[in-house]
Amino acid sequence: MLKDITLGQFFPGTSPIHRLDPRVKLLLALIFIVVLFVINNLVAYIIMGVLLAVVVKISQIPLGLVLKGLKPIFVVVIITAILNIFYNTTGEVLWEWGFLRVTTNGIMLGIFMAIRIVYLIIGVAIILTYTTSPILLTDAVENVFSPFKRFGFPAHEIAMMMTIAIRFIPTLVEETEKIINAQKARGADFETGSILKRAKALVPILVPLFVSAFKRADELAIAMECRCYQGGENRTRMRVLQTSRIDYVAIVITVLVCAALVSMNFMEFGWRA
Amino acid sequence: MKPFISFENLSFKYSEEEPRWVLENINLTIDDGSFVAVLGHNGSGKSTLAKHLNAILLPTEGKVYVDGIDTCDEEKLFDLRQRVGMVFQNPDNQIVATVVEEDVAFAPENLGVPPAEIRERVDWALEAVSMTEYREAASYHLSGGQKQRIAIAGVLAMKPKCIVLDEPTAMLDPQGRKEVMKTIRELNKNEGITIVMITHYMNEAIMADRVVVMDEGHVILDGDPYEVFSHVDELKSVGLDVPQPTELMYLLKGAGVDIEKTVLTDEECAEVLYNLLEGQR
Amino acid sequence: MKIEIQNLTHTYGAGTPFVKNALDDVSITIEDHDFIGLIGHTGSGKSTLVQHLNGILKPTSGRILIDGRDMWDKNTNIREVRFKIGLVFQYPEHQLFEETVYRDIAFGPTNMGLSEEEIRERVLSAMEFVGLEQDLLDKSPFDLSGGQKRRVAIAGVIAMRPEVLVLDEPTAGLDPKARDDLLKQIKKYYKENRSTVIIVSHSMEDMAKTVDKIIVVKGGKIERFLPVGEIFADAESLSSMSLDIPTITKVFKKLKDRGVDIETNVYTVKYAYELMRSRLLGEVRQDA
Repeated sequence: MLKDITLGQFFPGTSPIHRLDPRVKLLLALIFIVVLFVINNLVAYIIMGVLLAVVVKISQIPLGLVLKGLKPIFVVVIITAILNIFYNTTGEVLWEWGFLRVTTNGIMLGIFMAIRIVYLIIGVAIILTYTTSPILLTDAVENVFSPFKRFGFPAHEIAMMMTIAIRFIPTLVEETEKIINAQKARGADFETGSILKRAKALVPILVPLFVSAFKRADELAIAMECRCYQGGENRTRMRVLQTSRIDYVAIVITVLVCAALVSMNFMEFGWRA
Repeated sequence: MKPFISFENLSFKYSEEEPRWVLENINLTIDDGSFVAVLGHNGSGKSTLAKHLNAILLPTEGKVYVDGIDTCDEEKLFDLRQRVGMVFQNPDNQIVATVVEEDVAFAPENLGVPPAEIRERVDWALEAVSMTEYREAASYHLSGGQKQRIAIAGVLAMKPKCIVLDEPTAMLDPQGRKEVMKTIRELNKNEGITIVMITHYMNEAIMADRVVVMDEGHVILDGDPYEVFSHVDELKSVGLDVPQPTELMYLLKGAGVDIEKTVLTDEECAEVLYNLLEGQR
Repeated sequence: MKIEIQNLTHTYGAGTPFVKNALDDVSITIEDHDFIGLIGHTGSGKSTLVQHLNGILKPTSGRILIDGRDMWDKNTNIREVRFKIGLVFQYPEHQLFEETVYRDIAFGPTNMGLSEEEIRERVLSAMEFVGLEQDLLDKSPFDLSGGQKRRVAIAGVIAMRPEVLVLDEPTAGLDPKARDDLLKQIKKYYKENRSTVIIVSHSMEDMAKTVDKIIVVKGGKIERFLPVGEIFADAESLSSMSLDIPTITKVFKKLKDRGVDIETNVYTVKYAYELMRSRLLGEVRQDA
């Protein structure tokens, strides 16, 4: 069901992770992503996994929600892993059929890519978005990118677009579900037939969805104008972003841990690709 | 004293080519602190009238003044919009931010209010619509009535003198309708906010101090609810209802029963019937 | 067509912290040619119940028998069930998608695999039932007024000629005249078509003057299933379920409370008028 999509939702709380400055969280997420793709040592990945689990624990996000968040990307992970297995053909050959060849290095790369995607989702999509209110997150984006405004970079506009997108995702998901059900009640068949027929079957869903989205956009724009929205100029914020001790602690810990993990690339033990 | 809102010979159409006026020669004044319900069927021009109050639409002919501001005065556009808050039918399409209190903060943030004062205003606005306990909730977990109260809090945070509500309960269930109507009445009574409410529910219109009935772009009836709802035939002829007790009294009167006054509520109706039955003994 | 619902339970969010029984062991039989109003609060389970009637939702446990056959039996084609039990969702105009009114109404019949002539015949008669003029046939549904769009959407389901027609809050958001017109048309459809009609509504006032029987759903259970004439006899207990009983019923309840010897089972203005006229004028005439 579409309702199972929990990515991009926010779970209010008071954990240390919730209390971090969102700009710091963005920075840490960025470091995390870079390191995630630099590491090439299985032991390092295992350590990283344990650390991620610890962060999840500290953030008080129920384990069930983490798993639920991972469910929708399961297929993507498998496909990526398989593609990567066939992509790298160096190393010891284990199996060969025509132009397809599975090697030790290929398998390693497949496993690494799967781990990277899973960690990426847990680290960014789950820990970051579950613990940060969407507004704070978009405020942070606006704030981090505001130095580039002078070069014409629309930091405020992008942040506002993100805010609205996050706000409307659940609404539109619900709407899609309703439209699907309504067309099913009129005998629409989405499950059988050729690819072309199935693609055509989407028209009765997509047209109403877009009509509704445009109507919502129109009404929202008027409502925003009525609430004196006039772009980012002279705008103040209810919450002022502030860094505190806990943020510096988090930065120091992350940087040290990441340095340690990256340095394992140069060590002699562990499995690597 | 000048009235708070005045429509002076207001006429409106969407484009020059259109043959028909959507609003035609409207003259209407609304006093500060009053609670006015504007009734009419769909397409009667009632929503168009409301949209003139904060310059979403501008008059084709005539003028609209709110608190001394000419709505055509572009320099004072934000002064005007701050004074007149607008609440629309679909609460989902007015809420900008996911988290309740952050949405309520949207308008004062746009107005450049200092952070500490925004916090105060948000807390006050949520209290005024009895939604304080949901301040950290995500709006999509709320009921329709709750969402609409958040939308009201969102305009309250501008500290408006007047709130215009365009069919605020049309998409709500009876429970949500009651919540929203209660909130609106309290804002009028306790905070002295002028209320202009567009509706086609008679049970809501009777709560107002004054009812204005529109049809085909004209004001056809205007007065206190008792006065307006005494015109049962006229209301029915423009596709509107009257409350059930009012209709019963009207029918009985037509049959020759001696009934003087118009009734609106079940309470009043029972009282009149009781006296009639007692009088027979 | 007879619909038997046996011990139907529906649970949302099984296995998550948000488990909720939307329907709890519901058993009810809807006879052929019933005209039913289904009343309950938001979250009472009434929408969940109607979505089971045509297999949009599948029971967590329990069975639904259509003319004695289990709807979820391996041999039953669920699409066939949907053609027999037509469901009009809330705000059905939000599902319009075709270029013309004709093609939108024809969507259901086309999915049924009917012939071109048959489809045309059905579309035209469905339009007549909902009171749409024929000159709208080639218009875009998106250019119509709100009330007309609603009618097109309802015609889209009626055109499938379902044996059971279920409408989820068909009058939501309509103004008083459009609401009364639509309810009258549904009533006419019911009378002329020998089909079963079920209307989901919040409004006791509307249902009292439209349907024959009323089902009250509360907390996932059926609280009442009675003919309209009997449902308001116990207005006290309906009020205690915080349902909106018709204002006119409240008037007579108040009279009774003040010691007047009068029946309280009054739920339409028409009936109230006749009752009071005979009480007030009938007796006056006798005195004179």
